Amino acid sequence: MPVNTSDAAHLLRRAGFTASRAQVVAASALSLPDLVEQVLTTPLAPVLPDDPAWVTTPPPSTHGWVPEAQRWWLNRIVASTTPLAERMTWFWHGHFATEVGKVYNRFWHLRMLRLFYDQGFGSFRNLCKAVSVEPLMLVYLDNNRNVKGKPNENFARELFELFMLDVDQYSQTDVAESARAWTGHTVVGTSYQFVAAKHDPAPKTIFGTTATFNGPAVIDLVCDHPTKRMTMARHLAGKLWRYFAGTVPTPAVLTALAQAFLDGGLEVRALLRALFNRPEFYLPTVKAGLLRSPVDFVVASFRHSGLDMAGLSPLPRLGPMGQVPFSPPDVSGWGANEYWLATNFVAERMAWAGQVARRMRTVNSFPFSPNGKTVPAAVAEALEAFGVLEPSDRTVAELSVWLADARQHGWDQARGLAYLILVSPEFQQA
Amino acid sequence: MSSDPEFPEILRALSVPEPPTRATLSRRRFLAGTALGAAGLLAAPALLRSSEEREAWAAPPIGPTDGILVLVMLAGGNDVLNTVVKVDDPTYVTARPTIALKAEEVHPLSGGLGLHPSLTFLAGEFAAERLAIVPAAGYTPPNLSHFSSTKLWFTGTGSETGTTGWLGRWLDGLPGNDDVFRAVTMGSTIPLSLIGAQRRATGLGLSALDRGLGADAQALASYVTVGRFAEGRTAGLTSAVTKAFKSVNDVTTASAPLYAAPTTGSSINRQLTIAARLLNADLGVRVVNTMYAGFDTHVNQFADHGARLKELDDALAGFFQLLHPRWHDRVTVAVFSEFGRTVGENGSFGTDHGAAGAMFVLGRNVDGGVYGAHPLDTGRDANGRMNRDVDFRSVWSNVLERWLAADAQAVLGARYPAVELFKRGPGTPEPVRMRPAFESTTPIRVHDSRDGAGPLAPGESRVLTLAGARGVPAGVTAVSLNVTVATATAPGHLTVYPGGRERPATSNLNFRPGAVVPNAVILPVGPAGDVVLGNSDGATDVVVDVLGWFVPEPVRPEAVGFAPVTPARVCDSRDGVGLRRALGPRESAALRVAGTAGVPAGAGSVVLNVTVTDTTAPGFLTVWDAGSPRPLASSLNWQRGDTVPNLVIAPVGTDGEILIYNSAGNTQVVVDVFGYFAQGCTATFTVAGPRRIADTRVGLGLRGGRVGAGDVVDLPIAGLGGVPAAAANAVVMNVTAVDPTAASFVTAWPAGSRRPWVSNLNLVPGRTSANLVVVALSDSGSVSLLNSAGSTDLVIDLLGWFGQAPG
Repeated sequence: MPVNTSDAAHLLRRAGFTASRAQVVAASALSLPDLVEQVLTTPLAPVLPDDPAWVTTPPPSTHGWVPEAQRWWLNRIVASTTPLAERMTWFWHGHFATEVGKVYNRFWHLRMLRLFYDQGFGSFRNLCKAVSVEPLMLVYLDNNRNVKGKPNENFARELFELFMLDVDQYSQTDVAESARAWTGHTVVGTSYQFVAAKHDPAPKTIFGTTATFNGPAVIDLVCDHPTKRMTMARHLAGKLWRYFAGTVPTPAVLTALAQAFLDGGLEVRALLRALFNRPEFYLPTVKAGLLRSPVDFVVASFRHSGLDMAGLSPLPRLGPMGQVPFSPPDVSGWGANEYWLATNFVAERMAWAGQVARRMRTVNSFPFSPNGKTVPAAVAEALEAFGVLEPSDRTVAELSVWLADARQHGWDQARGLAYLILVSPEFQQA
Repeated sequence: MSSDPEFPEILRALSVPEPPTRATLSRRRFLAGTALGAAGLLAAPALLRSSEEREAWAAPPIGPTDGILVLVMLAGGNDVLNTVVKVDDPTYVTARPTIALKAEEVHPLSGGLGLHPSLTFLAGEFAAERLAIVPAAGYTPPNLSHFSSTKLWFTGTGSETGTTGWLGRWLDGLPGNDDVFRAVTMGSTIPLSLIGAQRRATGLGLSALDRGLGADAQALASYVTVGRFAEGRTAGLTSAVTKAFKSVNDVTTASAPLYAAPTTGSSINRQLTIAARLLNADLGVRVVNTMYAGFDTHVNQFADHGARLKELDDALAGFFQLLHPRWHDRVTVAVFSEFGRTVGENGSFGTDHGAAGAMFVLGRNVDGGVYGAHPLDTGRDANGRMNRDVDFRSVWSNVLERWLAADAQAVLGARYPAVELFKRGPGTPEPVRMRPAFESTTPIRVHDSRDGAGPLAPGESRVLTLAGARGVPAGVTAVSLNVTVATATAPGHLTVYPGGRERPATSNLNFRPGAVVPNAVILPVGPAGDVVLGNSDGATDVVVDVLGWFVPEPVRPEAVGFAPVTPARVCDSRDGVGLRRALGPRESAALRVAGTAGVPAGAGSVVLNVTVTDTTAPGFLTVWDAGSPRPLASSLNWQRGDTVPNLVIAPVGTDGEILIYNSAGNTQVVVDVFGYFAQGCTATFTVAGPRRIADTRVGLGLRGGRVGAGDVVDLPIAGLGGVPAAAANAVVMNVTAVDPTAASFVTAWPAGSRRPWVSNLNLVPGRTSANLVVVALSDSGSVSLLNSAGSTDLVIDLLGWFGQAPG
């Protein structure tokens, strides 16, 4: 049975950034499981240029490469024909968060990005192990200073608290012992190296098991542990649900997704398949349940407006909106929904919408035209152009009142409609 | 010699004929009614002028005793051992071979403790007893995760799982609308601590908001539409999102003036700069939250930590400098961190997460000192972390109860061991001690507007420089005046207050056209030795006589301290007591006031209430010390047929006598004595207020409405407005009778003792009149008041107290 248009639009928007009417119509020809498969198997490991310019060209200063890298990355996302890959890369970027303010080696940041693109849908076990020996992560969480006799617990703690298990799912002893296991995994020069002399080889007792754990073996311990593996599965399932659905998962959903993750051998794609196939994902509360993050909002505004980032840079706005690539507020990444609703964050969204609308007027390019249409027709066309396929009565009414006003006063109708739709709840909450 | 007094704001002005009630005061009227001229405050019109829709976005004004809390969170886990340093502890030295501070580097506190060298301002605050340090604050069992521990601090419930924070729940419990400015956070994210079930703080950034389209008509109409997207939304997230966009409009308008001038320096400095401007703007803010990151010093701690602490210290110093003095006794700052750090340094010249950490609470009304043990002395837990001593929720409980007037147990969900961090409640100013002496003088006329300065115009504030002129010594700290108004063009009131301050919303004198009305006033002078006469409506002539002054050191040997007496009537010419008969026109008579009625023979001056009655012509009395020539001054004025009282502080002349002169007609004179100043008395005068402590029209202080015929009401005074319970033995207050229905008198005397046959105030039907009253307090610190006939409202403003000043 073909999926209904509302569900198709919802899945396409959440698994990507935007969905046009044409895309939704095409998607609605498929059944939901088939559409999910199509979404999941669209080429997911896009070609990443070996050495983008911001890596090869020496920057003017230690952090001088960052704006160029941010622009490069955002442009990729806007132009991407494999938006789920971008969404997942961004998810891992916030999950295994690092801050360029602390670690500024551009090669290391590119390596980490590549890792997410290449391994972001595969085995979570392997992803964790790979991340844990990336120089960027080792230095960010001070594991390069974690040495026998003087353990530094930072990485070991966050591995359990943030990356794998969640708060309070481990004891302080587990962390201390795990820190000892990670001693010696360090960076020499600019590369990862295991330095045996700095490693504490004595046995460690973690989650009730005693062995001479060494680094990534701790990750295997968790993934194979009879109870901790379920804890881990629930942690990841919950995070991914909140990332795509916006709501807090019910116990039933959480359990089902965690089990699917385990049954799928901890393959991320398996978890996503289960997630996108859940009927709960298509509830009205979920469809209205996610506020676009600043990056999502900015990307969607570019995709619908058709503007070129060369003519309008979002970088100055993203920080004040609360989200900057390579620069999460701390190791726990970014929040969601109400997290973005601080007054000044919201004002920045309005400021950005104003910039987009004014730029559209400057280059005289709008994906709709109010001229010669009745107010209702003009409003409907403008909403559709921004991907708002199911506007609320209130939004339509207010836009109509404004447009009638604008016609009376001779205001810039297209610019005004673009601004208002960009800040409307439907566009904010896609 | 202590600093000038701080006058708390009082929200109602006594204004004939309109008795305002709390309920009818609105934000706009408040702004219109007070003088917002002082530097640092924002011009009221800018806040009110807008062509946009507005809701009730502005919080109702803060009451004079509503406390304000400013929070500073040091994020990352501030290292207590290098902040509150136990310098000579051998553990400290051996555990921190490279990062320990040395004794000579720190600011000494007490008990072998010192403050990090960067904390110069805080060290000064500690020395001034305005900084409370809790060196080992925390909770048990400790949690070493930033996120968990922060959550535990923010929820305040002992549980990490919670969707509300302690101040959010406090906000939920406040009455009123969804006031956008009730609580503000100066960062980007609203912390859980400030999120309640219904309400949350508003976020203000470090620069003004830009809504994207400028400010022309089209833009403004667009912003209105954005606000209207919020109408009728019931679903959770949509409602929250659209409301958030709507509140951008409200916050933008109200906060634009805050950013008119740039902010500089560290992030915490910029946050606290905006915070001070915000408080100065008087927008109804009760809580301001700030956060400073950078304290998670795992690596290379020494330089980083020192730099962060210096930035913090500078920012706090700047905050209090920028904060207008009118807020100083209503603002308390609390500094905290989610945990402390390890005892010893790690291999990276830093420290790792610990348990117990330091809290600082500072402000004018904080009882400075060190509270609880130092964390090096509290023992270690199983992980080697220092145990806490004081539960941080004990501190929050005290802040909630004493500063935010909340039920701490309801907010936090449990009771915690008490810790008392405040020496005075919010809005109670530091007492100003006039010590040791009062010198009275033959009255000196210092101002007569009929002699060239011209009448006081409606609304005018006229500055009179008293100290150092016409026989008033330079360096006086307070004065005793008789102020008389005449030729008023409309009913109104006069407020007399020290120079250099905003006009308070109290009154000293009520007048009406065609009457000459006097009242005594005792008040401090401003820094320039000046006082201000503030007129309300109607133009009026005003005459000011100085009756005495307070000096820090006595100039004349007869300058002395105060003692109250059981009030007694020493003169009633209608009965031939004191004066044999009424005074005729231009007649003077002597009256013995010392060596009688409890006043010792050697008293330097007496505090009298002088009343005239059965007056046959408009006139005035002059009261002065026998043996001096009659001064050109008046102590009392009346119209024909009036009964008028006034408080007079009269110097005692030869043979313990004063002289009383009557200017016109036949005048009966009644004199009651309430106290005296004499050598050997140690009670000094302390200014407290002016502060309205009773108002029967609104049930303040005295409940039960108007005072009827023969009714006696008891007013507890000790404990109010800084009047100390044990030490005060008499108070000075201005008592006003509003709308009396019958000719009557009011007597004030110490509660519980036999009512003396004296009067303090005489009432005429329909006429609002006031008199200054000096009355002893009962042992329980209360005063009784009687109204003899008809019914009347009473309004009482406290001006000061006499008593034994400590130390």
